[in-house]
Amino acid sequence: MTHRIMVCLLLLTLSACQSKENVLSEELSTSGLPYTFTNMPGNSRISIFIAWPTNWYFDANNNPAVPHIGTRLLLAGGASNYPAGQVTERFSDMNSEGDLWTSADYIYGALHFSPKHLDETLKIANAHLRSPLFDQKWLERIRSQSAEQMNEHRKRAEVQGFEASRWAIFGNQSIRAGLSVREDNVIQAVTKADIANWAKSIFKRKGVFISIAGDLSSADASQAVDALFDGLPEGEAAAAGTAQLDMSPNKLLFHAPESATSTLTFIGKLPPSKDGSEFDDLLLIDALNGSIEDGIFGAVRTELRASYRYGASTEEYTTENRFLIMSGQIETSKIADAEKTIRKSYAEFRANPSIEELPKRKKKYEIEFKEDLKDTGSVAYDAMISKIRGMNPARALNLQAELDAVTVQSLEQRVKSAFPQSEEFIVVLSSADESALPDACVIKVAKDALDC
Amino acid sequence: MKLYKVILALVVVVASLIGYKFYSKSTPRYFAQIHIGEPETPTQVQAFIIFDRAPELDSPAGLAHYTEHLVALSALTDDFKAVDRHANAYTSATTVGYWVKGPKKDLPLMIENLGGVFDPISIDIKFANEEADIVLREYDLRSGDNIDYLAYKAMTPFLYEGNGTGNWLSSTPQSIASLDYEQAVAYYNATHQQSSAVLLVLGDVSITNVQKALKASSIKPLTDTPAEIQPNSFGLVKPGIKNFTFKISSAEPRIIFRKVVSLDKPVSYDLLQFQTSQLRAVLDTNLPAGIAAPLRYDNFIARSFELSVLPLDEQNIEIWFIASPDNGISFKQLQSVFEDALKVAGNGVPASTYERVQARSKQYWVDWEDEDATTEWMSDYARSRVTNLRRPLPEKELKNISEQVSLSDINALLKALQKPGRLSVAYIGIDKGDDQ
Repeated sequence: MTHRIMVCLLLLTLSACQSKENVLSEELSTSGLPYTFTNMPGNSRISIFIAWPTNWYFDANNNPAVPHIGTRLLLAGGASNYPAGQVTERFSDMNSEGDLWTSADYIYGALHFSPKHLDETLKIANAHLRSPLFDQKWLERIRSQSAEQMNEHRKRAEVQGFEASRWAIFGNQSIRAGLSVREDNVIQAVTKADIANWAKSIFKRKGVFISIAGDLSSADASQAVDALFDGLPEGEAAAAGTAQLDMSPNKLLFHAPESATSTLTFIGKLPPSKDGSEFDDLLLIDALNGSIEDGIFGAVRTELRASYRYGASTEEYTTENRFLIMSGQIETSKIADAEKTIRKSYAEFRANPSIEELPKRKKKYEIEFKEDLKDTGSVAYDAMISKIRGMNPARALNLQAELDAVTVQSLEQRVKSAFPQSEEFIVVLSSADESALPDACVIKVAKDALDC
Repeated sequence: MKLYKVILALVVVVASLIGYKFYSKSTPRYFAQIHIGEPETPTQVQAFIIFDRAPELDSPAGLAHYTEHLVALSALTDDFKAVDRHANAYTSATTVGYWVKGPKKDLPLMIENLGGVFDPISIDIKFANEEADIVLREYDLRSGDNIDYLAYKAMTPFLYEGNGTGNWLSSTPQSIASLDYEQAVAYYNATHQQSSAVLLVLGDVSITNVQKALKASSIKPLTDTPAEIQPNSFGLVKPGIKNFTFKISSAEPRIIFRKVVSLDKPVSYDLLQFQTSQLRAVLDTNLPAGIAAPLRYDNFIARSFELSVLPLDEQNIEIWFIASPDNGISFKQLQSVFEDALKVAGNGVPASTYERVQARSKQYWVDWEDEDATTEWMSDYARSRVTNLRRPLPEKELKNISEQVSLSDINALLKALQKPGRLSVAYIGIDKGDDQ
């Protein structure tokens, strides 16, 4: 008898333990929408991430300013039965959050809320997707602010340096305009009809990626997804846009006589994220950056004494096109030396990364994973992005396994197979000194990079 | 059998009490203050050593910051290089601080390394003098093309006139270029005294763990009486107005409105922090007494705005308002509508608005029901208090704070904001109002 009681207690304990674990599944809602669902027992929040495919920037007939203004107007300008200004108060009452943002290939949406406010939060969000007001006065307000903000941003020399690099890489393809700082006349040309057409092409059911995470049942998750997408048209799938890149290793110098600082940037190509090796790349970038006495940071700050901050990162311009970027402000009189020092430091790293203490280097990611697994937003987002990349979304619950698979050998192979050679970088300098970078093509207008 | 166990338990308790008393009496002091706060993450610990910036000694402007660079390079190089630790230093309006973060098991090592800030600066003098150039690069990075930063730099000395905090952003390329190793050593000797240093440890550690790490380190116990650590108090000089114009044609038109006022009576700092957070939450709404309605929804006056209200000390508060005017609205019109909205709020916030905002405290204070969020908030709270030389309250006391605040407190703050104080407005960009 005692034995049976002990067995029952053990089973109950085990089942209680198991019920605390996150469980991910791929589901189909009652109305037929595929989505990823992660049940996160005991969590006080629910998060939903959505990615609507778009090829808007790839079409030369489209105004590239529309998506950004459209998302701002949709969020702020009210919807049917929800005048502008009232929803923000109701969302604050409920401690709900919502956002929309743009990228080259997707329009992303996110909602975070407590389970007891699920119905009302989704009703409001649905209304804004299905019947936004797109009020003319609000459009003029957002449009004029966007134009003035872009104007201020564009005047910065380092921004013009990046603009020049995009002219060099993408040329006259319309994606370049989509990724760049909008011109004033382009922004001011956005009309209510443009926004309405754009919204109609985006907010639909076909081809969308949906990920929901929280402490809710499978049935409730299905209802939530259907409530959010209620009344949205089926629509047509958007074919992914493509771009041709010119990565010729030019040296560009954007001459900005008024600029008090100089910014030196190296841009090289990396394979897209969907090819995998995410943690090899992150660990390689960490090692490339180095610290006070090694890496490119140590080379530029401690050895050359030319910069306060210089570092490497990755940037995904489109889903297919990811770049390795090394950038920072450099003392103008040391630019020529800095270019040589950075190239040399990078070349040495690529030839022999010599990554020591790998288990210690992995620690910060392990800590992040543990925290992320408690956060509905992180889990929902990771699952969605994995699906978009053609990977198993369940990896979102076990990124540790991918990190464990990284070895010194895999890093050495990765840096040689995926990272550009040091002579393959496009180099861009923005500076008041037009002779600061030897052998550079000097331009005064970003578009003139086409002629370099 | 039972009696034996009771006696044994009593002996253990008494022995512990005697041991504790003995331990407390004989525990050496290493710092003027030691604080322990919650960790950011359970397996990591972060240790700080903090000094008063002593604004009166921070001259030429930027000297404290430059010295901080040299001390960090001298003491923390191993931690900068370590792949599983992170180290840095900062200079703020009130303090200069050094910190290391890493695995909990490395607490003794981190304490040992941080103790290096008490040793004389030991880097090559040429390298030290070159570091002034690095400080200049940092100045460029923070200020270059950053119009709001330049406005802040211009406004702060006027708003904080007569107070040390007014000078912490006064450095210029010229003042930085004049800095050298000898000046840094003089500033270091005057300010980086162990007897006036504060230790903060954020981690799942006990005072015993910290004392053990200190005892094992090369940091010596204090022989002098530790200094009395006091946060900076603020004295508002006579009321006045000073405005600044940054007529930059490429800038997005906007105003930055800052006003400092004194309260009739002091309020304990944490209570005042909660009151000002709640006041901000009331004003930043589209509810009666909120400013969003007159500015953004009922009328098209401000395309966007941000607002904050914060305590400078127990008896002085500051309100910040940054806003971009709608099409056809001038800077003066925008400012006037904002000031009118504040005046209306100053007539009294309706109970319905206050109760609605009260219920949203998780957004502007802390969600006490969420254990993880509470831990993270308490960690930030301890860091924010101690790096301003204030003692953090324990969680139990903080939980009662919201119950100590009422609508009349919020209304009192709004009345105070109507009084004369120090007002400064920066007008940035081209004024495109229809009345220009």
